[in-house]
Amino acid sequence: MADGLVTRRQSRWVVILKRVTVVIAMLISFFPIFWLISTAFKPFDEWASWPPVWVSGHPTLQNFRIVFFPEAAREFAAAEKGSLDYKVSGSAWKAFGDSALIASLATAFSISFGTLAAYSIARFATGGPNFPFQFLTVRMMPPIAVVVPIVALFAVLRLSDTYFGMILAYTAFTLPFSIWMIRSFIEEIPSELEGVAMVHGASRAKAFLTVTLPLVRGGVLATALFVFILNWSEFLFALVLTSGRILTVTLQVANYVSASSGKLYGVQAAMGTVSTIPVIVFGYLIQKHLVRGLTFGAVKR
Amino acid sequence: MFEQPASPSLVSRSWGFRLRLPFNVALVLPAQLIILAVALAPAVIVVWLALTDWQPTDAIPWYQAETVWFWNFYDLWYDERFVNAVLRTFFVVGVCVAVELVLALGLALLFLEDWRWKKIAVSVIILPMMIIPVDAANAFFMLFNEHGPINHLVSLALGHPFEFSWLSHPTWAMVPIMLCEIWQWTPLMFLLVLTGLIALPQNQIRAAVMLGASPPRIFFKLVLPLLLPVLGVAVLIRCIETFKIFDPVYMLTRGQPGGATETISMYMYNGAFVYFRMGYIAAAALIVLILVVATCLGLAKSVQQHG
Amino acid sequence: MRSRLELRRLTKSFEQTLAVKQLDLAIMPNEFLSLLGPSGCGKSTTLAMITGLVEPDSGEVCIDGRVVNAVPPQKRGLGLVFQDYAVFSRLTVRQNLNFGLEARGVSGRERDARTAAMAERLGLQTLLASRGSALNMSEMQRVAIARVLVTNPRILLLDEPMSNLDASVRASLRTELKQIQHELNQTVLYVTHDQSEAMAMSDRLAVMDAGAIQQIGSPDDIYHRPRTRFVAEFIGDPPMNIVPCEIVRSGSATAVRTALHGPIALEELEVDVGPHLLGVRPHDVLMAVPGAPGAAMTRVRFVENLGAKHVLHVDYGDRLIATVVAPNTVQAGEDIAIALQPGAVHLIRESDGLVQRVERQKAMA
Repeated sequence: MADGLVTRRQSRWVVILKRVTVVIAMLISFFPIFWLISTAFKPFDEWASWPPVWVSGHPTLQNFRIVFFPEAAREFAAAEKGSLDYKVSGSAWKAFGDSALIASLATAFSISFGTLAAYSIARFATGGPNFPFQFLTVRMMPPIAVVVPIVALFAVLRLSDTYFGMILAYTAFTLPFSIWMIRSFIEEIPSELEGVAMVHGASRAKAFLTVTLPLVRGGVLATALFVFILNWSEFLFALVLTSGRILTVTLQVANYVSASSGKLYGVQAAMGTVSTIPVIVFGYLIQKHLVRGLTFGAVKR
Repeated sequence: MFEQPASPSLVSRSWGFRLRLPFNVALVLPAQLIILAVALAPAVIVVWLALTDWQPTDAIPWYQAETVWFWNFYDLWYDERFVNAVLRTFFVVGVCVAVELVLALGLALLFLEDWRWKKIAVSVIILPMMIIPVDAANAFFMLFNEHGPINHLVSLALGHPFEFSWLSHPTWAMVPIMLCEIWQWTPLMFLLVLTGLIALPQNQIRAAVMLGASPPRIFFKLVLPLLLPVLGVAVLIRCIETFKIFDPVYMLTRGQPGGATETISMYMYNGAFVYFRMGYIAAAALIVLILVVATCLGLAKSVQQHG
Repeated sequence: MRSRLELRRLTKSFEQTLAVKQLDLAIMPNEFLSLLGPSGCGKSTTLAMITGLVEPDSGEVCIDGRVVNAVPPQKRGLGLVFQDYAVFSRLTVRQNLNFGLEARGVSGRERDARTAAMAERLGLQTLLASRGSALNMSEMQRVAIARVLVTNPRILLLDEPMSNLDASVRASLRTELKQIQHELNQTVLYVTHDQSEAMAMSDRLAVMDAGAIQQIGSPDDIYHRPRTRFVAEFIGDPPMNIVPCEIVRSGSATAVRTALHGPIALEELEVDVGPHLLGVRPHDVLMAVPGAPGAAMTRVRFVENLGAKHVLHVDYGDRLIATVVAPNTVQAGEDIAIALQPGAVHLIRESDGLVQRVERQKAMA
């Protein structure tokens, strides 16, 4: 859709220049990811060679095996002993399992409670006009500032390094997103529709469940995927609130880097590549709603 | 049409107890309670902790720690490392958000027209947003390695080997961190700016053309003012998020060398979980909370006014 | 400014629909010409091609004799007032007026002087500091017109400028516009679908339909001597009555007969074979004395009360026709006699809609 800024007659050179710039932007966007994936398939001797190997001539699945299978990891350590030591004993399966469990449950709670609250705020303006802003203020606080007292609190409540503790924390911090996003979806459905159902004898709850909820189903699903992405990608809380019993994928990525002084490039890259796949997949699925979510419903596409 | 519910009570015989709560309040309750638990209780605790010098290594529970009253705040005021961290973070926010804005604006202008592979281009350009931040940091860690592709490209450009150790250099270590942040979040700004551009009133722009305005004049005098609301939201959101920056700092430098890349979050993490001075850091947390929330609310206000 | 505009064989199609077909049009300096036609007739497309915002498939746009097809819209020196006014919402009225001047490099005192003068002429002095988004419709229209006029455009183009305004505002704006045009000696092209507006304001009208110009002429010409059926029916309120008729030949004489009237001798008129229709405007259907030559009896079916006049709908063979009378002279259900005004009857050829006016006639009882 041509804008007035784009005059009808553009010289071919201008068009070519524009397209080339776009291609450069695409290359820059893709490059770090390309490097990550490429390194994941590099054999050990190509990890830190100079000049660096851009695309491996001998791609291998060794790194992925090390990530997922402790025996492969032990073999590797034995073979390369002396050149690196790492204490990453847990296999990535545990990380993926824990992340999946925590992220899924936290997302479920966040969406459920969030939908209830969003409906209440959207239809009844519960708590007055400023009520929703408390959630926004929660987002403004740097998590590190909040995490110190939470560590203390969890210590007292024996919630440190527990699944329940993690799920609770994750639910709390994604609730603002859930509430704001779902609220913006509900506000798009005119309340008259529920009124019609109620005139026909349905209770408020029934009206909501049978009329509005199906209509915002897409939006709620998108919000769920969005919240899942947030939970899956979360790092700081996982770092601080766990001490070994629970392992998330983000922790595992960081572990490879720190435990080996960052020298296990291939393995790091393998873990990084696999762990980010769910986020990429879900991200593209909800592409249209990303902007709405990341701006708290302020901007809709 | 929909009035506030008078006070229909939520009477549930199947639950065995009677709860007299307005329906709408009952709905918000679970969410509110969770947030209170995880946000309010800690707020109280943080105030308490800030007045103590609790260190977990002391083996006393925190609620029994000895109070040092306002000494923590006094110390913080004179703590160069803390002040530097705060200033450094403001610097990072300013630079990153500004660069993201300019890049996003420039890029979005290229997407006003249609061409065959436009959708693919958009998909690729927003890819960085869909990478786990620690993975992105991981990738940049490898890119800026002494033997990494960045140095390789510079070597090719310069004609002689360039094996600069980015992440160990006090001045330059900040660059990979900021580039990681910019790389990952410019696509978001891009989407926001694009949304704003598409919503521009076409006829106003045509009118400007008919009045003889050149493209630069149309852009600066007409388009930018029209975009101000969207740009305001974009800048606000990015500022809020960038203040908290942690993942790239942790993965790339941990705040090293010598605290040269310590941002607020990194400083506090180190203080609390490496040096275990939780009381002290609680005080820092209070200051940071007030500072950051005040700044962000101020930004939000000005965005609202100009919107 | 007084400039001349010529369109030669302008053609444009969109996805297989031919929107504008080989259009020829000339607008004289200082002339107020209306481009009149129903929605979809191609007038907006034509306007867009004149401004340069749309490129023609073929044909030429000439301003002051110079072909401007290759000249971008910015440089054509035309002034366009959009249908939705497109006032710059985030700028003040003053900034709106200054915009075109600054774009042309006029600044400082001269710019302020011209802006102030134009603001005064259009009654905007009190609004200069208001934001574009804070104005109502008619204020926006004034701003849209002012910001264009202040740049002294060669030709002022207006795209249905009154369609968003209340009827009460339209009348006063019409006269204002005409006044300004005379004061500034401005050539104006006025695009509209409202025929009474076009008739009231224009020096000439170009009536358009289906991508082609049906007729160009002064309001009088268009009204009294329409050349096609479309023009005849489009112009005039209430619209022209069209009734079936028969051509009757007796020897060398030709006459036309309708359900109630005729034979009307057609002298000095070339009439060929093929079905024809007769057109006569309601104002030209006269109340007559029953029994007088040319008068025929008919019954009034219903009456429209328009205040200053009444429109009677009367039987005419298989249909109703309209006639205009003074208020309160006739009631529904009455029988009256009507006659057709000599010299105001039009013969319409069904095959192609070509209209010929019957200048002279001899009505025979």
